[in-house]
Amino acid sequence: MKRLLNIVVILAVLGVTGWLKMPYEQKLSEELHALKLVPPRLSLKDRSKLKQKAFIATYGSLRPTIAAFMSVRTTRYHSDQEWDKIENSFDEIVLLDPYNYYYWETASWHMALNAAVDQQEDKSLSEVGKDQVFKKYIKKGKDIIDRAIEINPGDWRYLNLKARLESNRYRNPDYTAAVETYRELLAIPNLADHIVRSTKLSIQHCMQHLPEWHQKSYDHALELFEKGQRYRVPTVQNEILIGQNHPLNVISHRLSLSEIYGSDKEAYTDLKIKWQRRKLGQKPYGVEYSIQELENRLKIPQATRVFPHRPLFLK
Amino acid sequence: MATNTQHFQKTSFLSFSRIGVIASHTFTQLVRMKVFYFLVVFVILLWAAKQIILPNQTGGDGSPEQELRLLKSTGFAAMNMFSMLLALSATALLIPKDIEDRTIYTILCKPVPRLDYLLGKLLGVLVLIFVSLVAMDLVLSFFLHQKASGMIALQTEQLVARGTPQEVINEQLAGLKAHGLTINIHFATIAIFLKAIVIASIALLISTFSSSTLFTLILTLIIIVIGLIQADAREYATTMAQFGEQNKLSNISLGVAIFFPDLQFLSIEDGVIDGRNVPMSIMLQISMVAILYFAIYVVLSWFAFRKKEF
Repeated sequence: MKRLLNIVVILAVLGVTGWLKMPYEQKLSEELHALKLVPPRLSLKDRSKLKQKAFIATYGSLRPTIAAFMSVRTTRYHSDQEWDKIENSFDEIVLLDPYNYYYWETASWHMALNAAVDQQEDKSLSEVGKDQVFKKYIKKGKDIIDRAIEINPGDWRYLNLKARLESNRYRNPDYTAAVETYRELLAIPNLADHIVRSTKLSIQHCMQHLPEWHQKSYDHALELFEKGQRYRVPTVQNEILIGQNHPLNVISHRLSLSEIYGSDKEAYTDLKIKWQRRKLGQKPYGVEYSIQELENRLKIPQATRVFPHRPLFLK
Repeated sequence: MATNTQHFQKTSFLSFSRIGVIASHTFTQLVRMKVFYFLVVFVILLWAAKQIILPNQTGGDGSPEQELRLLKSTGFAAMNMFSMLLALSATALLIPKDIEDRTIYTILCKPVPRLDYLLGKLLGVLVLIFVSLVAMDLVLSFFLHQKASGMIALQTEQLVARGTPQEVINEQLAGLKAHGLTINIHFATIAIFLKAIVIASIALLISTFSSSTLFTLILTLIIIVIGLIQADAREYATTMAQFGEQNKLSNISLGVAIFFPDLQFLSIEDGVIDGRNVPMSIMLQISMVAILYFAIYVVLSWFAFRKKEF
């Protein structure tokens, strides 16, 4: 009887103190989650996915250790090209260690780069089938990065990873989406200067692959050019030259070759490379003419010229 | 007889010197059980974790810090496991062992208030856990510093050789340094100790009314497991209450949130493994909550133990 009474009193005290502490605990818990000091809560679906590992996952500090050993195991699946096993393993790994960039990067890399190409080389599939599977795995890679962005908002690395995949010319690129993602990245506050610079240059690079964006691309290049020497890289310089020679562009003020490139010599070097690397379907307005003009001005020997024979109509 | 009564009346309710004597006795008793041998296992474990070189699969940026994460994670997991097992088993054994050895009769027949006895016993266990955690923290700090400084030197050399701009080098090294030896490592150790305090006081409370050590161990273990997911239950109950909905699960969740401790907020070592900073305000808040739990459970243990007959 006495023992029962004791238990009742203990439960009553626990109940009252528990009720009183609950709002404070909730507030503290939210603060810890906001600071990412404790791992995100697992949903019932995630718990069932983790099976027995879910129990271990609840105990602090064991999660990253298990995730690390599971990721080591995936190297075997990689060498055996078992993509489904890799996908399932990383599904669990990122649940166990969701704030670890390395796992998200590796998971998307396996899907969008390795698995996509491997499936494309599958001789048992038809050409259409190969293409479908190729696109399916690229989408899987993108979906992984989207999940990572959802869990790690405000981390520039995930947006950069996504934009890099979207603008990968060997992975069914979508340059418009990549520009949007890069712009989202730039909206993150307090980014390091070199990240801002490389992102803006990446936007420029993507814009140049969108022929209908000729005016936007030219304006963007001019904006970067005016920021100073750090932004005056061949991508920007070439775009200014091409943009101001584009027949449909509205030009505010035309820059000379030496103004764009610093000197005629540098202009010639950069334009030569641009001409050699020109892509099918791209129209490098003004590049051919500028090279010819520079070859004459710099008195480049006929044997080393890009355009050794002067067109007849100029004679 | 009258002098004796006067003497008993003068006995203070709480005496730090009495608590100290009982605590030091408990500490010595536990040390004789060779618990410090675990430190050898801990050193071997960390040494092995330090040797692991993880494969850099993507060649991306995230891999150099993985090895530091693994080292920290292994260290904290071992610290957690050791402190939890010790807090659980040593505390659960405290009273039954004293009854078995008949030491309890010798102590309690003297003018020793039962609260002093309980506090002394509990503090003895906690001092042992504290000393062990300090030793483990030093070992972890040593290995971490060694590995991190080696990696920083190598990384700097490689980045300079590649002609990487100083700004980028600084940023990459800052990321690596955040995963090295910082004050946050010690904060995580303190959080593990706070978790052990709460677990030990729960075990003490259960052992005061339980007649079996095995029952105490199992029940405390169940409470620990529930405590680790209590936050989820509280979240669910709070959300349901906000929407004005009530069902069987939300009622159970509310019960769990009220009657069980939240042990998840003491698991900040996960954030430290991720290389995050633990603000001082957070440390103070979690310490306050842990001390509050300790106070509640000790008072309740005393309540259950105060008139217990042996």
